[in-house]
Amino acid sequence: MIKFDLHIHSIASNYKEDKNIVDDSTTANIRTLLTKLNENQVALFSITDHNRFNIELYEEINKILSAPHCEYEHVKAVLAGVEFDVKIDEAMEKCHIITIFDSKNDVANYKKINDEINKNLLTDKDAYYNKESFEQLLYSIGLNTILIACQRKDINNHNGHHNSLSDSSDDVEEIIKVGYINALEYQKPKVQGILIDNLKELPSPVSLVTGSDCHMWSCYPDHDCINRNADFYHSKAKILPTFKGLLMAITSPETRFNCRENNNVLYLKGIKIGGEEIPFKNGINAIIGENGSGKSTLLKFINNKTNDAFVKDIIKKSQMDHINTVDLTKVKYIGQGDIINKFNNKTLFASGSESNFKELDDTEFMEKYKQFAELLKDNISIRIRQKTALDSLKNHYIKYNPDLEEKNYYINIICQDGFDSIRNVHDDPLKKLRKIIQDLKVIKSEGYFVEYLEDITIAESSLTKAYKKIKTKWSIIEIESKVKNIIHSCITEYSIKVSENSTSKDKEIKDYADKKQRLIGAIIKTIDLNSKEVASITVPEICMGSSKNAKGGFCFNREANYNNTLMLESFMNIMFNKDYNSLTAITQINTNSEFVSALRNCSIESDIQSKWDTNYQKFINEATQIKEYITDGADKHIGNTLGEMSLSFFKYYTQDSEEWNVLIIDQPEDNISNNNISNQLIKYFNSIRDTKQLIFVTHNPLLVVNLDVDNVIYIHNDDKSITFKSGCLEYEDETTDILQIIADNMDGGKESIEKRLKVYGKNN
Amino acid sequence: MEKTIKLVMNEDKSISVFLNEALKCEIKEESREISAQTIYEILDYKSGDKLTVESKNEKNIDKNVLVYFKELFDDLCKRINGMDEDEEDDLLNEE
Repeated sequence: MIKFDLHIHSIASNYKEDKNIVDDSTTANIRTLLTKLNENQVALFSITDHNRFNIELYEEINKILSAPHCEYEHVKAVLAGVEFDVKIDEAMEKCHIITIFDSKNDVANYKKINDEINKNLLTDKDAYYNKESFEQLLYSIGLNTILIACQRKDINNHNGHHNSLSDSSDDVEEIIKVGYINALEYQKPKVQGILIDNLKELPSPVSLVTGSDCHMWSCYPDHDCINRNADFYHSKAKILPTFKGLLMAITSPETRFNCRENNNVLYLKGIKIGGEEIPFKNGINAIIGENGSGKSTLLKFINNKTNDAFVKDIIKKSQMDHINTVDLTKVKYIGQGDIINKFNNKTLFASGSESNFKELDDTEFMEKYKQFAELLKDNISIRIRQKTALDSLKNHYIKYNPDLEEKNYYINIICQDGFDSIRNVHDDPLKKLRKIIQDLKVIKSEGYFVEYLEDITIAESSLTKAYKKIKTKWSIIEIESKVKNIIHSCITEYSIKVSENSTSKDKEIKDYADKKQRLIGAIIKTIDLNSKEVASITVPEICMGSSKNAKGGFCFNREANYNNTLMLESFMNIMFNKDYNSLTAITQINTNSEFVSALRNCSIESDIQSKWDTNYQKFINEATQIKEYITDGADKHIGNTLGEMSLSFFKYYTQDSEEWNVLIIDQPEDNISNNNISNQLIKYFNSIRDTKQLIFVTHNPLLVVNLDVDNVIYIHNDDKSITFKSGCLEYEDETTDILQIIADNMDGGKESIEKRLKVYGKNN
Repeated sequence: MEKTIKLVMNEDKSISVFLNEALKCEIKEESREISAQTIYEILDYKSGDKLTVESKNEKNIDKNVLVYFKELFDDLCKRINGMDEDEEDDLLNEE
């Protein structure tokens, strides 16, 4: 991060100043200014005289700054500049436009600036350029420029007297929007607040910079010894101290101007390839290069995912080595294809082995429909049994035979139907109560419930008492069942023995008695069955079956099909055929053949039970099927396509509350449209640039140029070894020009740069 | 508790069934039949009971009738006395 000041005057401005305040701001006194700049740690500055360019001064500054062991350690460079008086709208007043030239500190360029200005030199202190002559002058100079208009007040204040852009144009917003002016210069902090508010509706942020407007160097950063610059502070930018650096800042003010230092404490400092260090920035690092250049291998190496043989081979050949390591639990790694795999496996938003979608408890719904289904089946079953019993009576007849009415010799033991078929009514309640008590025992040991331990112990004690009472009743019926079962078994053996030893007459008498007994039994059974009231059927109430889990700015929703829905129609349609899919029709069934006709997929009587169970299970499966969806903070549904989910995944991933420091991604752009990369993904990555380290491989220039990465690493593989070049976007030296590398090696790279810089390409 | 079932052939060919000397049922000669439910009620079994059977037919009237009937009760008592006890329930042991 460097401080800069692009608005300083020299003696060349004296034709407009009448208090002789620039008299000592001469080439001879330049060290006075440099000393002041150094004290204020200003790295980049410009001498921007009124409508003048002082070649001699610039040459002297460059000479001093480029000297070995320059004593002004903080002062790095000067940019050529002029403060022009320009009247944009002829009907209004003039304004001041700080014009910074890309002179590359070349004397020939200095001369060009000076010569063109001198061709039509303004000599009257109130003289100005009109819009056309100003544009013509810049065109004649022929250098790339950055135009910074002075604005000392609200942009809607057009009253004049301040040399502000709004004094010369009635539509400042429009001038900025079309890119005519690259930035606004203010001096007082309160004006910055006004301007931010003025310009908040513009589609992209506007660069707002400070300039000291210092005329008397000995008083820097004050204007002069009388006019103090109260509250003045220097603008700071995360740039190299060059024209290109300034240009990068102007075209991405939100990432370059007055940004915070990264407060991430654990980060990768870089790696070594062939003994040479590739430095990583504690910010955003983009690795670019052709397919097969070794980018992904490098990422895997960084993240210690080096199991594959070919990866090991490349690492060995390239002599890759770590400079430092970060605890892997603090590093997140998203490999190429990981997102699509997770999307297909529906684990995209899982954290570890746990899903972010909360489990649903279907117990209430299942219980209600289990009861309903049982009741319905009992209802049908009772009607069938009633009808069957009534019909079966005609099969029971006995012809009175006095000869067989004789007494039998052996004791005949009658074992009525259902004698030993006893249903223990206490079975289910006992099991339920047991589970509750055991659950209470478990939660008593959980820390959360310590506060409620006494209440839970009382509840457990009461329930245990009830359990014991029910258990006693349960045991009595269990014993009855066992004893009756033994009696039944013994009677069978007894009857066989008696039969074997009976005479023919005795047997005939017994058969007659048994037949009589069966007739009586059938009549009793029929009366019993038909006197039973069939329980009325109540349709289960609507159940709730949904869960929400708010996390990382999203809400993970899970909903069962039965949620808040009456499921009767679905139940009837799945269980029964069309003619029977109403409760009225079902309660008319009174024969097994009708039941077969009614039950879906059933064709024979013996299949009734199994088909009933199958259909019921199908209903339960469909009803409890869940749909999952994610809503964002504004309760807006996130789409379910891979692209939309990928985008949401990155938003979630970058905004989660977990403690991590480094995010490594192989091709984050996969599956996401360029539009969404520009509008969304860049925003998500920007949100962590001051708090995390981000390292990714990409082929998408938007993620390099528009994201305004802190460090570009270009990897090249010439079949023998991996070589690299790295630096921030504006970095250039004798062998490396990062923007040129992007333009030459990334599809659409040149277009992205041109679009961002607008002027780029003119001289390249 | 100890429970003794006593089967007695009376002179009128009826059969009396006692439980611990208390008459529980009488099977008349004209209608020698009994229901399974009545046998269950005669036994009046409670957990922990020990059942034994005795028979008495001093005049050997319809000898096999009582023999077979006693064999039935012998079998019943043997199997009931040998029934497995319920598994221990941990919740019942808690105070």
